[in-house]
Amino acid sequence: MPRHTPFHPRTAALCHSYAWKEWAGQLAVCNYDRHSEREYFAFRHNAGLIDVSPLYKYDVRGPDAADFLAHVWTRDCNKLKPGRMYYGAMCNEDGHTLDDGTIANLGEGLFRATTSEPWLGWYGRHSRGFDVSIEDVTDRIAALSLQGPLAREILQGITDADLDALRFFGITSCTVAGQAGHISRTGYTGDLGYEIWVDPDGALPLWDALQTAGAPFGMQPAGLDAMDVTRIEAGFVLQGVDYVSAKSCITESLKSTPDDASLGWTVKLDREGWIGRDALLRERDAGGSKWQLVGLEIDWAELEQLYDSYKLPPHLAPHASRAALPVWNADGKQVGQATSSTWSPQLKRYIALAQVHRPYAAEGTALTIEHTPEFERHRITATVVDKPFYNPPQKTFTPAKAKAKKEAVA
Amino acid sequence: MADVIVVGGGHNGLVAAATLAKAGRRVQVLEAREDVGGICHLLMDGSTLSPEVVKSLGLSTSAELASKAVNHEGRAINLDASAGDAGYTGWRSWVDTVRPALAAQLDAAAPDIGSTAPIWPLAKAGMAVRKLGKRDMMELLRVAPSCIDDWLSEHLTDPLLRAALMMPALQGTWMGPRSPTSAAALLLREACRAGTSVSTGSLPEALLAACKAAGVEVTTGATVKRIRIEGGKVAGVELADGTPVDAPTVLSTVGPKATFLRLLHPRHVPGKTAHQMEVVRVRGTLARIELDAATEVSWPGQHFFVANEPMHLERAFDDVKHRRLPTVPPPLEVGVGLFGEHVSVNCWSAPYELKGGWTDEAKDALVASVLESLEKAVPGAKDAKVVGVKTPADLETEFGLDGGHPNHGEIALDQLGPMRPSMKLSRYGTAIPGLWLGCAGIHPGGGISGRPGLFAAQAMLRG
Amino acid sequence: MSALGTSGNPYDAIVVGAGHNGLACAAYLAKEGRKVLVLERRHLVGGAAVSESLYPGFTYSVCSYVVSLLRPWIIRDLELVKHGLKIVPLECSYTPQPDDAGLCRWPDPDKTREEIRRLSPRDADTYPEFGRAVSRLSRFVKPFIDSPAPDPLSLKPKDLWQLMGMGRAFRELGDDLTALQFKLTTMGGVDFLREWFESDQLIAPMSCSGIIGTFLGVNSPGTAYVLLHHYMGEIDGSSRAWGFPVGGTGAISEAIASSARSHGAEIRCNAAVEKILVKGGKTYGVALQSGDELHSKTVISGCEPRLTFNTFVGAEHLPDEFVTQVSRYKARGSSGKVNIALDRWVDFKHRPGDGMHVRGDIAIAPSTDYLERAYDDAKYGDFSKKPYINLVFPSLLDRNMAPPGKHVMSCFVQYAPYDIKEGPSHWPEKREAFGDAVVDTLADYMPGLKDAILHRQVLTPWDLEQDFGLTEGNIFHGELGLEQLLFQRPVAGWARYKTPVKNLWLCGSGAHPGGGVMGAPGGLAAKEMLKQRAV
Repeated sequence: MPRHTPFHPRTAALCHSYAWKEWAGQLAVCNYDRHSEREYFAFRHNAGLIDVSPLYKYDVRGPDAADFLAHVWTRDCNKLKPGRMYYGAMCNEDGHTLDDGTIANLGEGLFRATTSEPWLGWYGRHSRGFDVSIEDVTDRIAALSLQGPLAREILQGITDADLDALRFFGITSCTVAGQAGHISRTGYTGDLGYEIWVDPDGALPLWDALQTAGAPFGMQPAGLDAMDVTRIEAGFVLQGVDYVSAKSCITESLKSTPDDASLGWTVKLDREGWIGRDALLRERDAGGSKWQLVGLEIDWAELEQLYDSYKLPPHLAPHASRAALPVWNADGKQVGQATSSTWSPQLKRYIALAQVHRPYAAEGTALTIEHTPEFERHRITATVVDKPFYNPPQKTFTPAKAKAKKEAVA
Repeated sequence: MADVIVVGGGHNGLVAAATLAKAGRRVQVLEAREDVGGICHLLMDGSTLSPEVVKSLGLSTSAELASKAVNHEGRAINLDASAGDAGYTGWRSWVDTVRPALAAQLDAAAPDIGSTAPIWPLAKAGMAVRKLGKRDMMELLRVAPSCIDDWLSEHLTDPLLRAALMMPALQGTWMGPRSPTSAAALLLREACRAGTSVSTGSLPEALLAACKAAGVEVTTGATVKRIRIEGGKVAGVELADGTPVDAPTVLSTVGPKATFLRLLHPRHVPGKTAHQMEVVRVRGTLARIELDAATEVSWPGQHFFVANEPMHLERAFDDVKHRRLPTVPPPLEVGVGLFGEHVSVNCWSAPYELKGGWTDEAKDALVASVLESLEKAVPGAKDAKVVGVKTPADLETEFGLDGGHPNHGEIALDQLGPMRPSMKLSRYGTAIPGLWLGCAGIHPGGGISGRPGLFAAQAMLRG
Repeated sequence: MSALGTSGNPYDAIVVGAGHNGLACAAYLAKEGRKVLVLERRHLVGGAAVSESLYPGFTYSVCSYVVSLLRPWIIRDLELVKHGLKIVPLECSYTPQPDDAGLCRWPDPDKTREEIRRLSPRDADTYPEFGRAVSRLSRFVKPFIDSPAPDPLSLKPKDLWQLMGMGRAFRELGDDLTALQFKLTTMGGVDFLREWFESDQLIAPMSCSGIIGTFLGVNSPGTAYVLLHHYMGEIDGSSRAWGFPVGGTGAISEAIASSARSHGAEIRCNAAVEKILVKGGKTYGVALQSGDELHSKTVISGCEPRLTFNTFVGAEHLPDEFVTQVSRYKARGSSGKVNIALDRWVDFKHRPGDGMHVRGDIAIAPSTDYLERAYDDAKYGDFSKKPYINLVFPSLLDRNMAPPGKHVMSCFVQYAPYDIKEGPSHWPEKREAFGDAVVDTLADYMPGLKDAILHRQVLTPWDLEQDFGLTEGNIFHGELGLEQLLFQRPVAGWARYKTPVKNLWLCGSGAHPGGGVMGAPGGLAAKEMLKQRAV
């Protein structure tokens, strides 16, 4: 049975839907109401508050901490300055992606890596010769993610951290809700957002303080379903859905390189000495990745027409779908699969993330995707489009920097 | 600048160096100790040296040592048909029948068993065994995975003879006579035997001479700290004092574990490789005690084993297994005058990972047990003056042997042939351009053999 | 018995021994219309897979007590569910420790992870990874236990094809798995597990699976292989590999017997075979101890090979070389069984209650050192003072096994060497001392045990031989060592159920693929006979 997160007493009291799912061995709310619309719009218009404690968290210390992380992650952690974070991927020797996640330099030689899967065994096996200590702190840190355009105003009310100055992918130690913790400017919704990391003992006071501070701003506790829609809009991949960690793949063909999984940008092949590089160099020399993860927009007019032929209004599931849908080229040959798809309530578009053969990855390529109204299979036009589907300016905007720039100009 | 740096001046390093130099390469051997020869100073059995090495380096050989076995009652036998065991001749002749098929596996690089490997060499290896004919092949397949005690009991009645035949086979394993697959260790040892022998005590000198004659530069007292990798390729080595020595090629003969886990920076070692090396088992069991030969003792021979019966060896292995000092007077291997003047005693049941560590008290207790055992076989021996004791821990520090293991890796089915030391590293080359391996930790393995060094050199010359 | 079989004989086949393999063989043959007679020495069918009530109200699974690898194709083909087979999955694998809560491994991976995390966070991460790697290998191994043994010497196209197929499967594993497979088949359980795990409390119970029924220790090379079997249940389509048959292990035999009978097979109990009749190198039936002779076209022995060849056939009817090979066949018994009737539930000291943690198998295996010491005792001819015990409480899984509120405890005990110092026939004098050692050991973990015991049945290897025909008390009809598997089981050249005696076949655990309540030797032997039109 899944364990309870430190916020469980509060989330359980609010979860009227009884819709839970297991996330990394812990209970996580899918949606508090019967469906997630209210939570979704809170993310997009005000702010949503989501419990992200189940993330696996590892503290890495020691003289070789940065060197070690640079060895097991695709990012050069030797260049990661205190107070900054990287998003990156981990590969195995064969260049197949194991996981993606973040690494934070918390200063004074302490780094913290978060991932979707447990990796202590992997880290242990690959830390030989590095002077590091690696600790699983998953259960020692409670984490909340506050995401949405009003997140800064809400959070600033309960912390001494200068949030105006905290840049995208910055992290700072601070007092929050009366206790010591960390705030990072990170998230999984593609909007302005923060993640707050505290001791589990302080979890409930933090939740309560945020509820109080957020209420006037229309903040809502949100579950995984709403976040799933937002992350697809933001073009973020999900391990286990859009790609499968090589450690869990039974067949070779299921494994993905970072390029396949849209994580290629985290990889610098000219940097030496990290796991997977040699294999990826070989792949590059052999012509590069065969797959690419693209955004698809499904033709709404065609879909409406299809439903019309059944004398029905168009109907899509009220949440994101993780069932893989086949994708064909113009000749009717299957060239890939949509791994995540959703109706975007805000954009009013039916969008998907899909792994397709590279020749079909160019923007504007017209493909077709399976759709099955009334249990009958049909193909609907889906066009390759640029991602993210939604990318508001406040995602990366730093008020203090803009102010300083303005003053400098003045 | 040398073409090749050979790290380690053990017998495999010297064999490789001489072979390379004879082919026109400029070779420099770097040896940490003040003398060369490594485990030649410890092992007594010179009959397993590759005949090809003997021939190509012009070494002189003699007949195999006439070994004996003595039990704790003082009964001594020769280790051949003259021991009077009716089954010996039959057993020996079967072993002689299968020897060529086995030797064929040892006298070549290990076949690649990987998924992309060509099937032909594998099929060839299979054919060599199949050529034995149905009966012998089936017998071989039955015997090899079984335990040495069961196998020899089927043929021989004298427990002392059985024990003494097992002892050399069990050296370098982490097994007792009751361990399955221990019969394979005896087959392996038999397959290595050349019929003639070299004196291990004088082998270092002979190999050094061969190296010098071929123009190898041998530097002793030079500890290599790192193998330098630049731009993904070997650039040379760095000595303990920080001195860089450049060369485009490095042959490491100090053991696969030492090479990948210490001499290379972890950044250059894929985690999978590091893990594979980490799990290579090297639990040494050899302790060496040197006695002053001046004492008036009538030694039974130049080379003899002290043991009672197979279960005596098993009890000694129990001590190893439980990482404790001998609880029974241990079985011994004794060489009289094989290494200079001394009487050398090898005790193969001293666990490297002794509970409580190899303290001075532990050392004294070990020596007492060894002398007690020796005294039972050779009265008067206990009065001999002990002039040197080396525990597995000492062998690790003095000879750079991981785990104090003289073979750089236990003899075990999963650590032999294409798996020694791992699937990707058993054919002397490595994933790093310019880095080669050639020691007992690689196929075809340990003992005084010279094969890994020779084959590594040959592989390097082929490119 | 007026009707004759298809061969003109009264029977097409006589099966010697109504163990689960003999019954399975008979059922397959009967299903194909053959006239089959099964002869059983005891008063009931089942052999070592038998349930008996030895104390009023309590049912013991006398010998074999859990089911791991009963082949799914046998359950399907013989319609065993229709014939009453019900298998309850075991809920947990619990390894108590004398001084703490010990370790429970659950079907739920998250729960298991939490348990292992207390021992080693690193091992908790590695555990599922290990399971995945090993499960992938089962795909390679499964064909070996579900088809007759390959013949490495045959040049027949079909045999070569089978060999090549296996070779190809091996190569398709990829380098990592090839290496893993290599290690798994040759290494000792502890050495193998140490490549993955650091916690001895985890390694110890995992390594036990490799020693069950063998005369080996957890460090002995070759014992890692059996780990694979634990992961094979998954690809058989059930989530849990181990189960308990409702009604005890005898219920499996009953179901197979019922299936066999429904196809017309005749099963006779209290019919002890004295000899297998051989004339001119050919068998033509059996002679019973009662003096009767029964004739048949073929005779199939479900008994242990040495019992079959040395006792029933006799060396005079066999080639000398074959006799030598059989004499070298290793079947040293190493285990015993203690069945206990309990007046009440007895708590484990550090995990009280009769909850899920005890509704599975419980292993007394606190450390690898403990297990190795247990083996040391046996090596020198004594039973383990502190043995490895695998126990199950059948009464928690099937309430009919004991009266309400009372319980049955089924303890598999290792090591108990057949060949004790005093000689095997002296086992009866040591029987109760052996039973006491088991109870004393258990009492370290269950302090209230001794006072709750109503009845105890102690089976030593001697008893297993005398009562169940298991030569030297070996529960697998011969050790499952590398040298006695596949084309070498029971002896090289005779691994496809045939024997040097014409029309005499083997179908017991001494034949490929070996022991355990799998039913595979019985089923495969029948299929092979039908294929070769031998019956």
